Amino acid sequence: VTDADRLFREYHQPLVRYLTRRLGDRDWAEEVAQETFVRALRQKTIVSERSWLFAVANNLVRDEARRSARERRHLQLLAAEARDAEQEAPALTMERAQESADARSALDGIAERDRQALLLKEEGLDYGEIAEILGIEKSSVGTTLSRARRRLAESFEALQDARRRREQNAAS
Amino acid sequence: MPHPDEGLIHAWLDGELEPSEASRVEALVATDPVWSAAAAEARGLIAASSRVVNALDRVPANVVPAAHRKPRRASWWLSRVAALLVVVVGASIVSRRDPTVQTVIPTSPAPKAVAMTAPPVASSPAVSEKMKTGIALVTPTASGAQAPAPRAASPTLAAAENRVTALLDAPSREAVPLKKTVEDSVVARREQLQGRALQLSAAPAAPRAARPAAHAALGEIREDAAKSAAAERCFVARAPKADSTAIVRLGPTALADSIRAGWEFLADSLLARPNGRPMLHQVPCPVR
Repeated sequence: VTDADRLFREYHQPLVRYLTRRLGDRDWAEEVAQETFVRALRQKTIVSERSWLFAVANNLVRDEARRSARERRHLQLLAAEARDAEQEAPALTMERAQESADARSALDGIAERDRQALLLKEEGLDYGEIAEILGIEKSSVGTTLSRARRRLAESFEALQDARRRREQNAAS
Repeated sequence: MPHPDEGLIHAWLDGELEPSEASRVEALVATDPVWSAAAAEARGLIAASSRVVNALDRVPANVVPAAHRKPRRASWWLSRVAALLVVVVGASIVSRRDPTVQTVIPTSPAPKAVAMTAPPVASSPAVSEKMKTGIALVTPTASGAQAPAPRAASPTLAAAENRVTALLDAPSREAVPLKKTVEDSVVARREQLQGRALQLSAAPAAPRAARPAAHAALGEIREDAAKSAAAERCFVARAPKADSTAIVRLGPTALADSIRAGWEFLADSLLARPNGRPMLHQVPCPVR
């Protein structure tokens, strides 16, 4: 097993998951992850592999977003969930799609740095790694995360409540 | 006592504090109700945000982009013109077919209402059907306004609700039937039950299908728990596994220890229904 193999096996999945959560598009996430690993292979030495990979991936996303070359857009999850429709009850598919759509809306509603910190933490990165990737003080990661979590949870709950009220009104 | 530092509490819960600092926070949480409440809230936020992030994972590739779609100004006019055409054509058809039918061409604001709510005519089977028959859009209600679109059949909801109520009433040898207790709690409030009944009835054969509903139930339970510590202490979910006696007890303290690790487990067990039986159980509140 070469270093490249090991690196890929160890970090590809979490990196793609992180990028997918952040970008909302698995294809785009795969592309960014691949480019990240290509750059990693070109790198002679990497001190902290996980931090390095996530930081490079972050930079690639940021650069691409700046160029707006791809003009990636937000999801229409209701339509996208059609992929799984054959295997699930329509009502369930709709419900999950709605939950995903609410999650996406809630996540999109928080600040970029908060969002990245939250997603990196969900991938298991520690405060030191998150601070290094985001270029912030380690001591401020807790505050960043607490703010991100609160805003995400409250926003999501508000969206869900609004949806429930609409459904109840429609049913009554 | 210092005022609770939310960031510090999150760092503590994330295991990111130095041992000495962690001990200090731990002592504050153990002795100060304000810190304790802040820690409990932080645990809830961590669990909730994690759940939201996990909900993102059902994201397929080749998604349909939408955010940058340019506003279609023409559709604003088209929809109104289409609506007007529907009304006029429908009225004329009906008047030709049956002279006894009173044709009412809605004046404002009725056409506006049609235009605002109707999707493009060609893509709407309902509207297309109305165009074919020429009846729906010109049949006046008692007030002369346009008849509202038919809603989902209420018998479906009633049947689903009855079904869930019956499930809650079903005797269980493993735990105390909890209808009365549940009624006293937030779990089975009628309005929530209605919405959940539809979800449950839609997936009778898939226990995991009830997970979103379980998540919602948990959220509601926790919300009310904040208002009623007694309700929080009394909430117990029993694992549906036949060989398991594991019980997760959501009390103010136990909740703090188990909410994150137990979230998925609870979500699975709350509304999992092996043998068509609800596995949501609530037992008398243990003395704490």
